[in-house]
Amino acid sequence: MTSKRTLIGLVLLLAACLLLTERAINSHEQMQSQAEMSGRSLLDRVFGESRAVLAERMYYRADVYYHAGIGHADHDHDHHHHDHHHHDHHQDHGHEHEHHDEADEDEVISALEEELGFTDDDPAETTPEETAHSHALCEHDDHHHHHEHKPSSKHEFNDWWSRLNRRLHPRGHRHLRGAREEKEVLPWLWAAIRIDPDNPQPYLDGAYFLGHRLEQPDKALELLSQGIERISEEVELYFAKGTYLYHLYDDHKQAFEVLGQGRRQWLEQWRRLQREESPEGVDDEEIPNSLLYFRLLGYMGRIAYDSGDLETAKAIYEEALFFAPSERMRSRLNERILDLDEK
Amino acid sequence: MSDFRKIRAVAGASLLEMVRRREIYAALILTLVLLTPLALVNFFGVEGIVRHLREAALLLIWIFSIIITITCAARQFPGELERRTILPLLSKPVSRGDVVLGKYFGAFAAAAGTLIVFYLCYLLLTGLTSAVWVSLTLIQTVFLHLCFVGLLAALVLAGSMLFAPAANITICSLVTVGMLLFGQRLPESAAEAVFPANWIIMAVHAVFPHFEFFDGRVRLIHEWGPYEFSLLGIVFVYTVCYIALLIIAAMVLFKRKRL
Repeated sequence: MTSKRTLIGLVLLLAACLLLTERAINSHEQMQSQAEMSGRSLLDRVFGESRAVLAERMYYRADVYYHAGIGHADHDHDHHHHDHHHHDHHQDHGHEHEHHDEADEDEVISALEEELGFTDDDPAETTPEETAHSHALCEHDDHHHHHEHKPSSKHEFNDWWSRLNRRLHPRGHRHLRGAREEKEVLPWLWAAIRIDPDNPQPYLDGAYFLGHRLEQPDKALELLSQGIERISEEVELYFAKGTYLYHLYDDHKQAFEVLGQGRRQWLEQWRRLQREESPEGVDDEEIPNSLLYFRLLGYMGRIAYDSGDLETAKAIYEEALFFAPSERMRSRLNERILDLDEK
Repeated sequence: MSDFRKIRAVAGASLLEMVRRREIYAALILTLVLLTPLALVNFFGVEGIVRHLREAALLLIWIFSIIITITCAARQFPGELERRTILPLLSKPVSRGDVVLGKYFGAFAAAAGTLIVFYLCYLLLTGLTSAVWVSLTLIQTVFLHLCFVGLLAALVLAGSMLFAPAANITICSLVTVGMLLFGQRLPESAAEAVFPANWIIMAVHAVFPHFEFFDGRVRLIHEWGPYEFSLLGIVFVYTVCYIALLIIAAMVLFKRKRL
């Protein structure tokens, strides 16, 4: 009798929990729509400034998942700590190049030349994977190509328990491989976007994984469109969408249009900065990413060139000359402009 | 009546008492209520994503297994001593050592049984999501988790001979969570600390039970492959030796206890 009552009680409790969950979801949606109408999101009200920190944590988890559950502290003893703060990603890549040696710089320039169709290869044959997309989670790939990972001996303790721990717990550097594994980073990027929808990096990474790794370009474009709708001033989102349209859909016309929107955004930000420039100078973080703009122009020029609109292509390449990241790139651009003049 | 039967009788009584308590069912229902919505979330319309679910499920299983094991083992003796029901038990032809062993096995059986039920729910939830069911790594992870529960029950039981129930639960919880979180990094911390902190940390590293050995979550969630069997053997021997030491200590303390 007692066990029957307990069972009925438990079933009722479970039903009550499920009802409460549904109710909570409904009221959450209601509160969210009210908050959005008042111009401030529900998450803003509840978490305030801690939202960005929480979203950062979610983004970090995505990175940990990309490295098969191993955080940087566990596999990166020898390497400098990789800062995940998304603002870093917006810094001009030109600054990063200063820290690279000449060989690295050559590689970057070669990759750019390939991306923008300045190599002898057929530009159309350049696969999306060969282009330098913005996916911070995978930036480690490049880093580790340059610096082969060797386990550190500095912090290796050789007592029984430490040795046992080393053998019991997974160690080393491993990345997710294949669609079955790579989709596992998505929940954390999804959460990072939900918590802080004004951070562009999870949109870019999410779109990269959806478009390139999981071969679901529709979803990638949808995510980038959501990002553009939410943070319309973020040029990198336009660039990503434009290049995805170019590479994944071969839709050059649409790609040119989206890249053009990004170009207008960049110029608007640049002009705004010129107008507001104070005598003390400009904060580095506010300077629009000039390498990104160069790449954007490069793609636009390439599309115009391929479509036979040589005049537009020439005008774009001439503008790109101002932002060329190196002398070698400038001379390649000049060659292309001379070639266009001859045609 | 053989010693084994006496121990089994005491353990059976303890297990029955645990089964009658409601918190185990509450933990199970709470786990299901928390995980079911998580399993239904749609991430960008991509299906078959499972690792986040595994992580959340295993985290809850670990949290509840710690709570259940500590509460089960911690209330074995204090309640009996307080209600004086230990006296009629000892008036029967059972030694104090048999009572300690019986209580230990009772607490372990209750905690281990709950753990198995939790892992069955885990299997059902993740299996339905990913269509991947039993793997060798999962079996090994459950085995290690059972070792963990056995060791923790022994630690708490021995602690209950020394400390008051609240103090025992607090100390054992701190040691367990502390070793799970920082056990792997103790030598590094000792190397960075100055005297006498470094000595204390190294003593903790040498003496305290290394609960982190049993945490196979990363290996299971991220599919790093099964453990070497020799390694599991070493951990099992470590666990049995540690449990034996703690149970012997508990027996000695209980024999000296004035009732």
